[in-house]
Amino acid sequence: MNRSAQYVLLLAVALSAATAGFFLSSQLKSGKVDTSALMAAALPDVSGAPRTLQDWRGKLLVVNFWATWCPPCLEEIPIFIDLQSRLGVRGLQFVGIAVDDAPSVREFARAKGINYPLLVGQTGAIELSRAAGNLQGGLPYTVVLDQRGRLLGRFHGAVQPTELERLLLTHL
Amino acid sequence: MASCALWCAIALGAAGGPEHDLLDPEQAFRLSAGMPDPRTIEVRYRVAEGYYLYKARLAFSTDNPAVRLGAPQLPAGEWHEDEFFGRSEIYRGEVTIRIPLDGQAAGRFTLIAVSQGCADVGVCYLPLTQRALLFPARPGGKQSQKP
Repeated sequence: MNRSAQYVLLLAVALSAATAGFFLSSQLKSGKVDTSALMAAALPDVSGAPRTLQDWRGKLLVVNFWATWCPPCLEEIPIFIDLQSRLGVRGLQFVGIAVDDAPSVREFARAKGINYPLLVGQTGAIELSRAAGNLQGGLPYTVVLDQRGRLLGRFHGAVQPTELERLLLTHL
Repeated sequence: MASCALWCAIALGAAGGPEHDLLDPEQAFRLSAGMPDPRTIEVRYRVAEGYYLYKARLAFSTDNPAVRLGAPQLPAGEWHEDEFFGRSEIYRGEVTIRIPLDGQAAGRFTLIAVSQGCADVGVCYLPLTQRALLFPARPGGKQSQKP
């Protein structure tokens, strides 16, 4: 093989690897998603009081759709607790929306020391996540909204912690 | 050259792979059902590769209170372990479940099947309700599935 052919091959490998890397870590997506339904909808919190995401307008919001019966959802909650603890004072607000029943969520939140508000809903919650871009209705699903409720990014499946933190730090 | 070709193939395969192109749950967990005889329902799930169903979260009912279902005969699955729920029995690939009827169905009815599964990439679906229309009067009654 001559030298130029080797370069072409090396370039092809590098490009392919870069593309592969992109796809493998491309859970963070933006794209056009209308977040108005998500921002406007009212869901009860674990005590039964109705809340909307408008209650936290002005904060950088991370909205995590999850459930206590969903193992990949539970795995990432310690990451959220840590980020809320470290970045809450700078204007970050996590909100969990559980597709679940309130007693299960309350018990899990107490056991794990969840330090951010949790809203609860069944069909309504998953329809809300679909409206926010989760077309297949899979969990976990996480969206990041800026201080005016506009979409900055979304994760299908578990978040990439470094990618999420990088995104948050950019907008705090 | 040979090794490069291999790496290229691996890299391109990964790049073109559907890592996060999740299937809709109805595609991931395809349901069909029929009645091999007037007293038995046969439910078949075809679970897409990379997906699995929890055995313990399968539930069946009908839209007709006169059609009483016996205990579903659930085959052995494979064991799946996670740190939160420990060992759970799951189904991959194709699974056939026989459900005896208590008595005999008089007319057509709808089987309502509820299942819950996940994708190996780390996404779980909500409990999924699927329906199949069954015709017990016809020997070997053909199934049909409604969304």
